Amino acid sequence: MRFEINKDKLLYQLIVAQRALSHKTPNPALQGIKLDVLESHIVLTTSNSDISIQIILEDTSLSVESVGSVLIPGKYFIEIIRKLDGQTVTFSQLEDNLLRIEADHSDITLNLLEFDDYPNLVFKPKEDFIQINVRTLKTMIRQTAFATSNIENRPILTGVNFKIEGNQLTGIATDSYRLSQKTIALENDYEAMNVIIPGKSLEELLKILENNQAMVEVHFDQSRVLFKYNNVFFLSRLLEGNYPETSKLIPKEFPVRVKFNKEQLLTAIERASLLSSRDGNNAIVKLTMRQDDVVEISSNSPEIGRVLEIVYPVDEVVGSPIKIAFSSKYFIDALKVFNSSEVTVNFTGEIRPFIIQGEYDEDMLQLILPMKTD
Amino acid sequence: MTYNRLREAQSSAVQIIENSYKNQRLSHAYIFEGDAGTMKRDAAIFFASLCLCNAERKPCGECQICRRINHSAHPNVYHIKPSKKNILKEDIRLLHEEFSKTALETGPKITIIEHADRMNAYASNALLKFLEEPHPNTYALLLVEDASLLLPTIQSRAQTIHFHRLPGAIIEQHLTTTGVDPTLAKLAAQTTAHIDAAENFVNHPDLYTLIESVNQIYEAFLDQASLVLLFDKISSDLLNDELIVELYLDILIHYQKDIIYGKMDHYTKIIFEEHQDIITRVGAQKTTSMLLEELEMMMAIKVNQKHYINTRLAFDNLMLALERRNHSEE
Repeated sequence: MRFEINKDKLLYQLIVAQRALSHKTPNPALQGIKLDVLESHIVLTTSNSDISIQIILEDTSLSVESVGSVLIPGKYFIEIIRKLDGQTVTFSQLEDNLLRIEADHSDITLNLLEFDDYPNLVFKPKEDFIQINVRTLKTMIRQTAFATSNIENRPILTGVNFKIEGNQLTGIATDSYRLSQKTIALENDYEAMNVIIPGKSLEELLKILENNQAMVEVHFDQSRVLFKYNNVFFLSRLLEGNYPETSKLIPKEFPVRVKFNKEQLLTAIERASLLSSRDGNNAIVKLTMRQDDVVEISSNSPEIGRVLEIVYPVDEVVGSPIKIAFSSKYFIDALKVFNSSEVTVNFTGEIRPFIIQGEYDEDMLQLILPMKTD
Repeated sequence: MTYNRLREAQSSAVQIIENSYKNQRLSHAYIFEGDAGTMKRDAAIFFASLCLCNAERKPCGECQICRRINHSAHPNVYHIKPSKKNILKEDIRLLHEEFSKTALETGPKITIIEHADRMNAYASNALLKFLEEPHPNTYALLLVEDASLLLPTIQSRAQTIHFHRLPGAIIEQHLTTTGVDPTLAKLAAQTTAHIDAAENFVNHPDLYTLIESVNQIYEAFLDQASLVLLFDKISSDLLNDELIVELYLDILIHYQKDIIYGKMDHYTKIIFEEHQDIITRVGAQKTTSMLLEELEMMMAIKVNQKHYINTRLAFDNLMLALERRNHSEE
């Protein structure tokens, strides 16, 4: 194997591939970057077993003298390429499983890893795939993945449930105290699908997707999901099992509806959560609607002090006054993913879940379970 | 890797696995029970390869899949072993997390838990929960020397396969024909369960030194010297290495047994024949019940040594006990 390529072009792709590189893994092969050199292009593959990334690199600066495949220790390789001088770098495989890297004044030989130990990763696209605009997909992930559970007692809740029904794609995440759900319309009807993608995989995917108008291909399978974005293939394992049926949790009728300015409500809750004996994130905040339709946000911890915030609803309040307590973190998390400047909070009762919706956040809802207080 | 040696040594275990696989009646959890050196780990690799290999006569032991399983590099085979002394809850939690996701490659997922008896209580309970709700298409293999050290609830959820030790006479004969000192051959046959392990045993670089230092302990007893002080001199070299301690205990146990055999006139069973004189003299100064009690202490240290105990303290207690003599006979 011998080829040369522009250093910066390679480095740019390596940084993307690095996202799936394992640092601590029982299998040393996964600490490597698999490099396949073909006649017209090179293929970079990394995997930490949860996610795997494959990048097809075609470039005018690429000139392949002979083809071959090697497994390169990832950490060293990327650092070497990063630090190299000069524009062009030449790679060649030597005997005894060595890689020679030549660039400008540098001549480096690197011990390779055992190629045969690399897992057999299949990045094969399916014929039937869906296409989503990058921005839409990113928004959908951002609006759901945060609500996944990070406690592994019920591993299934650490993932986002993706469902396709007809031309609708729905993402649902819950940690059993809150739930977020977003539905988007697809261009065509697709075969029904119901999978659970680990939240951590989706967060990594977000970092790879840029902010542009490109399309992402999503290839769902029963045991994996493959995202194809330009020349990058992103493969994630799925969580096994049945996702709880959440549709029954979402109330249909809301006797009490209040519309707020999002920023005002957010800052009021943030201030109210400051004085809490529980650690900042779990502060309990109370929302009380007065007879004159003014809303009080308050918190009280006897040993620290109390906060009372007044928030004026932006629209006429529907329903009778209500008093409810909730975790400030859940409410703040939920408000932050809205694009709308005004949000409606829909209540069904003091100890029943309430949902938040926004005018400009179509088909998205955030549900929170209230907390009991004395 | 071929599995011929495994098939030879553990034919019935291999048979059970192969038949269940053929009839698609594999249980989702197995306990491989047998003494150290009975090739339990090889059998576990065999099991995993059987499930994942695609060759016609599987497991072939040669294809890329089999080779990766051998190198612990196959993503569908998850290995757990004690990181320090015990297997911790965190290890089982990671297993649970791993198995809650779909397999990276096609085929079932297999976890191999070595020294499963070294799970602490939290880990055992976590594993129990794991076994109670088996993930589809997964297998758990627990390798233990003594299945009764596992929680009864774990035992009842897994099928136990016994791995037999090779008869001591065969090991002894094999070793003596290859020119090993007969005393060592006898000792190796008593302590190890398989020819490979026995060969490793007799080739241990410290073996002679350890035998000599055990001998010194009993000599010192006859000279009425303080065993605790004597042990203090050798302990710094000894106690740092868990494997050496184990070897030392094995030798000590067999020496003690020799004394008991000597006292009961079973002279043919004595291993350390060249120390016959010491053996008889020590036996003369102690009652059988004292000797048995001391033997039990040694065995207890051997078991407890795998857990967090103060090994030094345990040995000091043992030495104090060994110093006792039967005053009525004096």
